[in-house]
Amino acid sequence: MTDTTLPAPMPVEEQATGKLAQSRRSLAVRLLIPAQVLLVFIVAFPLIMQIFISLTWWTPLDGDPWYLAWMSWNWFDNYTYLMQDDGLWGSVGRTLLFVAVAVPIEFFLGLTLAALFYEGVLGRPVLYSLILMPMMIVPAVAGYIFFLIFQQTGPLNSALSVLWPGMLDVNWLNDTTRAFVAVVIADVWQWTPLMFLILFAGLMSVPEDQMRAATILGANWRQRFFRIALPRIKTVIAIAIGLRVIECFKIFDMLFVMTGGGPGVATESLSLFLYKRTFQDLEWSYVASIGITVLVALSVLTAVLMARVKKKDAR
Amino acid sequence: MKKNNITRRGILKGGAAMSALGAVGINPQFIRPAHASPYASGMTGGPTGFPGAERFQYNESHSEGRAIEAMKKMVAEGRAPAKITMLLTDGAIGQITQPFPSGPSVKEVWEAETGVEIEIVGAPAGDIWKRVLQDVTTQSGAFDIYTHPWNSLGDLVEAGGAKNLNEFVATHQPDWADEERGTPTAQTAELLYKYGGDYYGASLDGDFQTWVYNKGYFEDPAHAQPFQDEYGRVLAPPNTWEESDQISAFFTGRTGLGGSKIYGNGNDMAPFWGLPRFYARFAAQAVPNMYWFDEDGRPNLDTDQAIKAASEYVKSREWAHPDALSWTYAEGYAGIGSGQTPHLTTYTNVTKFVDRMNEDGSPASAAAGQLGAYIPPGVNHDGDLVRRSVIYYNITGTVSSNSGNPEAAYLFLQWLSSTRIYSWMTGNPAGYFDPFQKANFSEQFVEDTYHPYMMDTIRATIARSAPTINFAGQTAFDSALDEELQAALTGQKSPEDAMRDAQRKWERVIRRKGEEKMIPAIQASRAAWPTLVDKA
Repeated sequence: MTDTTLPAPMPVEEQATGKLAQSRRSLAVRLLIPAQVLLVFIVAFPLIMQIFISLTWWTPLDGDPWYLAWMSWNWFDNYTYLMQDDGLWGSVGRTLLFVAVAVPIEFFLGLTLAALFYEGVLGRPVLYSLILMPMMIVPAVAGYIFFLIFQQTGPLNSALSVLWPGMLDVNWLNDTTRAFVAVVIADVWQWTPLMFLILFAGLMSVPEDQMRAATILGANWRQRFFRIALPRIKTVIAIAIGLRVIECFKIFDMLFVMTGGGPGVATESLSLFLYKRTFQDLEWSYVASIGITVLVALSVLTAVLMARVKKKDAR
Repeated sequence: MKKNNITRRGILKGGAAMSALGAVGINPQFIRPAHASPYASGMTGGPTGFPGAERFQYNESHSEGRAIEAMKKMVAEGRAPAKITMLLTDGAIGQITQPFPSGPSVKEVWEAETGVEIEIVGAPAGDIWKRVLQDVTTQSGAFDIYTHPWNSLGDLVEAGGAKNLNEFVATHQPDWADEERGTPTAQTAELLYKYGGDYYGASLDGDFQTWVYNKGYFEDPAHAQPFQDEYGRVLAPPNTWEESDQISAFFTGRTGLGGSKIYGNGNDMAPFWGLPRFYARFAAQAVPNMYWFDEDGRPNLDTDQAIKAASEYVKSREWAHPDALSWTYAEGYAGIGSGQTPHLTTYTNVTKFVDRMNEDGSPASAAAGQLGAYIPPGVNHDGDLVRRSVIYYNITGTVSSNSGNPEAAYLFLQWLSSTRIYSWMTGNPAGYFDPFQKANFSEQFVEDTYHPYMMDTIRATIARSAPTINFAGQTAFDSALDEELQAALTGQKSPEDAMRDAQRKWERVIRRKGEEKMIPAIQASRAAWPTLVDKA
């Protein structure tokens, strides 16, 4: 014989509360539906659509809408091609090189200027405005300015020919190395002010009493700057460099105007490469595969970094 | 002494400036009421008000007249739109909107005869295809008529952006392929107006790349004698690419007009604009042609002939201006105009902009009055001389598949591209539309604008011109090849590697578009190639 115990009946009050809670949950779910639907359209739908398209040959030139892309299904051809696409990896390499060259120059110039301004220079208000001016110019316009400057018969060669006769014929934008140098110079010209602005603001936040105390104790300028000011603005430096690395990695407009990525592909950045594949060649499925790959790579990277942070916090 | 510096800006504005004189004095008297019978006997429409206007007038038996009558009928039945919107390259607008030579403009004649307004939206030549694609992909229907490079016709048709014109052509009978007045050959008509056997476009251009040279330099003993001493032959227009390169090499570094340094190779070599220079060299590498693809649709870019053409093309940079890699046609025009270069192959309107007099009677360029033209050089294959040029860009009008009134749009396009109106329009120096129809070459205005020395040369060039790619995938094919050639030109790759990489990219494009679709298109394109081979 089995001893069966029936559950005690729920008191009437609790039953009412339970129903109320259920009704509230149901209401909450219903109220959240619009937001969920919105989320599906903002995040899930584009992602699924991108994955779908990336597995096909589809382009808008096919004349078929994207949802018929399955008719040109190619499984992972785009992903396979991506791995061996010299154009893509070349542009990634050039972009990294560009970041590696331009950002440190911008940092050191920005820091030098910030240090000079921190110590006080003659005509600071005027110089301050002048230094910040390039940053306020639209990058495409800045690109055009430098496109003109670096022409073979442009002002730079004219100036150089005064200093070194015979240099008038320097061909800046049609030589692979010199075109790269020209683009770096243009970027440094435009974005050093931003670096300066952030670093200068950081330096201004260093407590004055500490600097005065150091001066009283006999510390010279160099000691004050490297031992007190610089360590104090480490976070600001990281932000400034981080911002410029991100922006520099995305460089597009200045390159587009100055060189169009040329000569050849010597100055073709990743953004420019993607632009050409998207709007020039209309290889939308291939670009989708690149997008998905970048997303996966960044997700993995983020997950690894987050795991490391968690591990560190646990310790 | 006045210096005749020709600039890019000058060239772009030149056409407009030329016609400004013609604009003086225009007033509504040229658009006369019907009862005044302003037309020549038997004619019912067309321009009036200037000597020779009757050559461009028409009646119902003519292509233009049929288009006008059909349009009038639509207006009477209330089926016509109030306005037709056309997307057009900036540089060509003047030929439609500026009066020439002293009467009404093309646009004014159409609007006066039909009452339907023409709205023209301009875009730079290099950007116009992007504007078309934007309109097609968004299905905005902003334009009734697109104009774009002929090369993009296949992509536009495949994208579903162009209206099939078969029915309209059958009904309204344009004179595009008219034996006496139309395209030089029936094959040219097939090439320019059809895609996949159906009518889709109306050619509004004649971009058969033509060679122009500084005759003054060639006849100058200071150049001619040393050339003969060095190469053992007379300094004359070249028959082969080898001779052409020798001329380029010879002139490089010599002193030209106004003491300027000469660069022997005047061809623009920038991305997009430089591509036809390579194609022309490539096409002449076999008898009767070195096709871009073999009969099975396999690209020929990794063949010995293609690599040879690429190597020669890359080498020719030695004799080009250092900025040639960023030169478009405008700088090329300026180069031949200033005397900086002795010869180049380019669009036929180069002479229209460079070899002319300004309004004040001064020459428009330093080289004005010294230019000549010659038929394309080729390759000597044991006595068979394969001379080839290419058709590249060539403004083409298509009716948008999203047009609210495609028949009205077509009628305007037919009227505009028919041999009478087109001859009148081409004679107008205010834009880029170039002659290509038989009627154009016998038209005095055209000859005056382009110069007599160009007439026979253009005709001979057309007969020897290979079609560049205009079928589906063209944008991807051309940009892949272009990118590789640029890499070779800048020394980032050897010509061999560049061609092999381009081959892989082309094969991928074919795979992507589907071989079953691509191979018939490739084979159809091969059929449109010229077979004319000269004797060496």
